[in-house]
Order: sequence, then structure tokens, then C-alpha cells
Amino acid sequence: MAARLLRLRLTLLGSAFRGSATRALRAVLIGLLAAAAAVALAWLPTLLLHEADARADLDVFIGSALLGAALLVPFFANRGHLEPRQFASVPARPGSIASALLFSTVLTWPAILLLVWLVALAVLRPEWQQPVWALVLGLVLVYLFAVTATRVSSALSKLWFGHDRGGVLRVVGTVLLIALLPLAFFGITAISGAPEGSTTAAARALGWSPFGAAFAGAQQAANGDLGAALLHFGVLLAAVIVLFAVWFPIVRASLQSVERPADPAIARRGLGWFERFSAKPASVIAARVLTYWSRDPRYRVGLSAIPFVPILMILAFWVAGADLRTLAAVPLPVILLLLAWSLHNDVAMDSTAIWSHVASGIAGRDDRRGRLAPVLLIGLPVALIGSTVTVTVMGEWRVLPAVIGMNLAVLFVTCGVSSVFSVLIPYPTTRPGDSPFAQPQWSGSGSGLSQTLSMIAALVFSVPAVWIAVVALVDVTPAWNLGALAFGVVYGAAILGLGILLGGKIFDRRGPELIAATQVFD
Amino acid sequence: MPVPSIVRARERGRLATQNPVVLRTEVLTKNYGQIAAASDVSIQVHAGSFTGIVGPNGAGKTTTLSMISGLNRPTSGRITVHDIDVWADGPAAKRLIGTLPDRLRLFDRLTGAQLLYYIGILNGVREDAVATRAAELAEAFGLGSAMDRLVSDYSAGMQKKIGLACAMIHAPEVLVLDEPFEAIDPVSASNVTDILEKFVAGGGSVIMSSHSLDLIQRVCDHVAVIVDGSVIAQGTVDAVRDGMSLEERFAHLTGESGAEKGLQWLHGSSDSV
Repeated sequence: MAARLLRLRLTLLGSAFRGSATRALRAVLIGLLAAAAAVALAWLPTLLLHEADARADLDVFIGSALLGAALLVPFFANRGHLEPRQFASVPARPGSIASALLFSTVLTWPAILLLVWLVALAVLRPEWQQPVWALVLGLVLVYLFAVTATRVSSALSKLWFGHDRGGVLRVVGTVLLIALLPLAFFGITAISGAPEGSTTAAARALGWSPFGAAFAGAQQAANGDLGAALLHFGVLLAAVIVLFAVWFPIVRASLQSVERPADPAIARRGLGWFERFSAKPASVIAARVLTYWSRDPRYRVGLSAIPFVPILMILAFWVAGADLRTLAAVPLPVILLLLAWSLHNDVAMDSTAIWSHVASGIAGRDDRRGRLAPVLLIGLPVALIGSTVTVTVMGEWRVLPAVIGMNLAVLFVTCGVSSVFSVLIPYPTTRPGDSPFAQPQWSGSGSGLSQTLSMIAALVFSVPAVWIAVVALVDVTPAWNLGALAFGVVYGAAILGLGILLGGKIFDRRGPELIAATQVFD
Repeated sequence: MPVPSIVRARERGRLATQNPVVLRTEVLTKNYGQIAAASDVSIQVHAGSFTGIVGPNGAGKTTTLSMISGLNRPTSGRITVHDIDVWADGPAAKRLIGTLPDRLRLFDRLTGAQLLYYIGILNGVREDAVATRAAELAEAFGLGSAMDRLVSDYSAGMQKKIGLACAMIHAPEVLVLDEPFEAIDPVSASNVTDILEKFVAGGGSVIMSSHSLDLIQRVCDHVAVIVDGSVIAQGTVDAVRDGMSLEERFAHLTGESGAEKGLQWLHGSSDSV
């Protein structure tokens, strides 16, 4: 089994060089560049820092980042080469498949590059070579950890999320990565500029996690403290043992689990957004609304003003002389508020076509839930990415939880309020098919009332979460910040849930009146 | 020589009267302020019957039909489908009703295929069934080549047909159709008639409105005449027309013989002379 898998891996590796000469040449070049980068990554700290302990701290950071990536990246972006599931029909024991898969991972590009980096590290850190056995032990443990972590997280991702949800996972991973970038940038600038003490404290903390343990341990051994070194290595060893221990059951479960047959998807193949949503009322409404957002210019025109509002607000505050760093927290909640508030007249946008929802007898809460899809699909990534940008501009990453909590709360609360108002007070809007810049054909009371009331309601219900977040912004303690995050999420979700239930009730009760109202506007 | 639909309709009328009543409205009334759009409308539709509602423009046909399909709340009265009250247990009753309203929009930014799938799922059809039904309906209504185009680009007649297909996708017991033949060309109209007749022959019921007496006489077996919001005659087409043509009978019932009243100024001479 193992020999066969190794041959397969070798073929997969070799396939990069097959084909035309230019293609092979390009593969060789890329491979050499990547190897050079791996060596450079080991070499760079010796260029930057001359003091051994500081250099070790940097190595802890770099190593932690690499091992963290080895654990997380395969979870979100696995290409599906040689996964346990594929061997379900092979007549071999799960145990032998599991060990063969693990063993053959050695022959993959990331594993080879990791090996290059580790060897370069061993060569370029003469101070670590003193007790050679400690260095070798540490680096071998790192290698084992990286290999098993990659396999385990990739297999778990395959086991929990079937192959048809790979795209969603990749999108989530990308959003998280983009959201982390400003933080990483901020972290690097902070570390390079910070006083010695705080960096060392961070490195020491990371050194007790499996990600940085080997590098911290190697430095301890070099300093002559073998006991501390062994303790560090022990942490990493424990992590490797845990990964090994879960790997075998995961493989067994993967081999036995039966994936949902892909057949039903045939019904919605080629139907655009409908293909990506399940065949339930709320989901198809979500798909329909997303289709409308992409096809109907009326929605785009409504959204296009949103980015300009916070810019104008900032300008106004800035002219008035407010501190730009504090102002950094303002634009994102405003954007999210306006984004979610754009739903407050959603039923009227459908015009009389809403009759098909009423005539089908679907539950009102399904209608309400489905309509949230585009706003949440845009709003959640914007809230996450925007929050990290916000704290980077503010120059204070410790308030990130509070900022995220506040923004999510504003988004959820406003969604909930809009869910109620779009069935409570629909007012005339541009008809489907008319120019998005055209005035509605019918005017009367309602538009001003609904806009004012829904905005006021959204603001009022946002106040508790924003208030707690502001307290956490002023008094920067981890407890307040985590509390603000938890409160923001829970409170926002509660208001959203209430809004959906209440809006759904109103929809159930007033469906015919909604049709009558849209008929008047049409 | 195939049997013309009018003969089939007469034959069906006699048989359907024996069948149980599927749809029943009881003293249905709808007031818009002072104006009564429908007053005390009591109609019965038998299983397997094709019932027409006729009346002059603005007589209350659309109001009555939209109250039946749960889109327009009656001021008073009761509607039951298979003894389920449409206005008390909406979701259960609406599963049994297929609706084609007049003058209401469809979600026309979807393609034909998307719209059929969407309406099918909303009406609780299982996903695998939607696929086959949508394909067969598109085929039956001659929309096969248009399924990938946006419904907003369809002609008025094609929109009626996709609307009909949407009304039928969840295999309802009763079809409530408001002016289903409006804007449909003659060839498609006979095609649609065939589809509806098959539906009725399979035990379903159709209640449709039209202002074309000729059409009603040709395809329906039962008829209800509504004038000014009230039913002034109903029963099998033969019973209602009472030996006359439906058009003569209608003129007789409404008391209007039409042409001779007024508009003298319009005839003969012109103001510009």
C-alpha cells in the first residue's frame, strides 16, 4: 500500500514537469525559486538581527506562522489529491491506508519545501548546533507536526464539508485571509517597532504553543537549559501524538461515511444562483434575490451611494477637528447600517410579483430569511475585513473583538429592523423594468414615514451594542473586549431573529394587503 | 374527424354534475368602501368540471377569483377547497390551488427555467419532481426553446403560458385562472385548451374567467354569470343558455341589447364639416 501510494505521489510530482519543454522549464524555475525562498526565509533573520535571543524570537514567529498555515490552509483550500475518501473501494485495512497516506505526504511540494527550510535552518543557526540531538529532535518534531496537521485538517474538511461545498470553503478562507492581512501587517510593524520586552513576551507565549515550541526549545538548549528545552519539545510531541491519534479514526470515518448523492443537483444545474442553494423555500428565495441583485440595476443604483456617505461624514468630522484615529471606527458601522437598511422596502421592489409568495402559502419567516442573503453575503465579509482595517488604522489591535462585535451587531440589528419594516410599511419605489433613476409612479404618504421610522429603529436598537463596544474601546481590557464581541453577536442575532419572526408573522397575516399595496404603486 | 371540444364539453357537463363539489364559495362579499366589487357570490365547482365565469368588464370576476386563490381578502363569506377554508388554513388550501392572476407581474428577471423551478419549490414540490415537471410543462406549452431566456423578454402570450405552467407545476386540484386566453394566439389557445381538458379529464377542476362568451361556450361545461358583483345565473352551460346561444342569453340576462343607446353624435357626421 505504502509503496504504491509513494509511486502515485511521485507521478503527481513528476506531472508538473511533463508536457512541453517550456512548461517543464517553468516548473523547474518555480521549484527552484520556491526552494530559494525557503532558504532565504531561514537566512533572513541572521541578516536582520545579530543578537541570538532576538533572532530566536523572530524564528518563533516565522515558524509559528508556517505551522499555523500547515494546519489551517489545507482546511479551506484542499485540492483533493489523495484523500482518504478516494480509497474507500480499495481492499486494504483503514490502518494501512492511513499510515500510507501519512507517509507518502513526504513527497508533496509543501513537504519538500518545508524540509528545505528546516535543513537551511539547521545549517544557518550555528548556535543551535551545540547539543545536536536537541536540534535534530526539534526539527523532526516540527516536520512530523506539519505533515500530520496538513493531512488531518484536509481530511476533516473533506469529512465535514462534502466535495460540493469546496467552493464555499475556499471563499470563506479567502475572506479570513484578507481580513487577517491588515492585522499581519500591523503585527509586523508593531513587532519591528516595539520595545524589546513586549516582543519577547509574545514570543515566549507562542513558544509554549505547539507552533513555536520547537524553536523556543532549540534556543533554550543552546542556552544550556536542557530541562526547559525538553519541556518545550514535550509540548510539540504531545500535539503530534494527538494528531496521530485522531488521524486514524478520521481515516476510518472517511472510508465509511457515505456522501449525499449528487443526483438532486441535476434539477437545478444551469440555473445560476439556484444551483448553489438547497431546494427549500427560504433558500430559493435567497437565490432569487441574489439573481435580482445581479441582474436588476435598481439594486445596484441603491447601493452605489453607500461608500460615499461615510467618506463625507469623515470629511465633515475632520473639518470640525475630530481626531482621525477615533474617527476610524465610524465608517464601517455606517456602511453596514446603510447596506442592511437597503432592505427596508424590499417587498415593494418585487412589485406585484409578490403574489406568487402569497399564493404558494410559504411561511412568512422563510420569505424574510431568504431576502437577507445578499446583504449578509456582502455584509459579513465587509464587517470582518473592515474591522481589521479599522483597528489597523486606529493602531490598536487589542480592540479588534469589540470592533467586530459592534459591526456585526449593527449589521444584524438593521437586518432585523428592515425585515419588519418591508412588510409593515411598504412604499412606492421604481417599478421593475423602469430606469433605476426614474421617480416612482405613485407618491403618497409612507415613504418618508417608513424611512424615518426604520432608520430610527435601527439606530435605537444598535445603541446597546455600540455603547458596550465604545466602553471597550476606551477601556482596553481583554475581558471588556471579548464581552463586547460576545454581546454584539448574541444581541444582534437575537434582534435579527425577533425581526424575522415578527416580520414573518406580519407577512403571514397581511399577505393580501401587501399585494393590494404593491398594486396601487404599480 | 376528432370530436370538437364543444361536444366534449356538453358531455362532460352532464357527468361532472354528479361529482362532489371541490370548490365552494359561500355568500362571498368584497366591499371597497361604498362600492361592492362582489356581493353574496356563491359558486360551486364540481370535481372534473371546467367552469367559466363570464361578465361584462368590471363585473367582479377578477375580485372573485383572487379571493378564491387567497390573494384578496373577502369582506365576508367563506371559501372552501376540499372542505379546507382558504382564509382559515391558507397554506393547506393553497397547496390544492393553482393560480394564474391577471395583471400581476411574474418574477420576470428570472429565466423561464429558473421561474418554474422557483415557483415549484415555493409550492412544496420535491426537487427531483420539479426537474421533470418543468421540462414536460415547457414542452407541453411550446416554451422549450425559450426556457433559457428572461421571462421579461417573452411576448405577452408567452408570459401567459409560463404563468399557466407555474400554476400547474405543483399538480393542484383546482386551477383558478383569470383570463388565461388573453393575448394567446389561436393555435396556442387550442393547445392550452387541450392541456386544460386533459387536466379536467384527470379529475382536476378549472375555474376560469373570460369576457369571451364564445370561448366559454366552446370549452366550459359549467358557467356562472356575474354582473355588478352578483351571480345572476349559474349551472351547466346548457341549463344557463336555455336553448339560446350564450351570447343572446347573456344579453337577455343583463338587459342590455347594446348598440342602439347613445353615441348618436359619433355616427354619420363629423364635427369638422
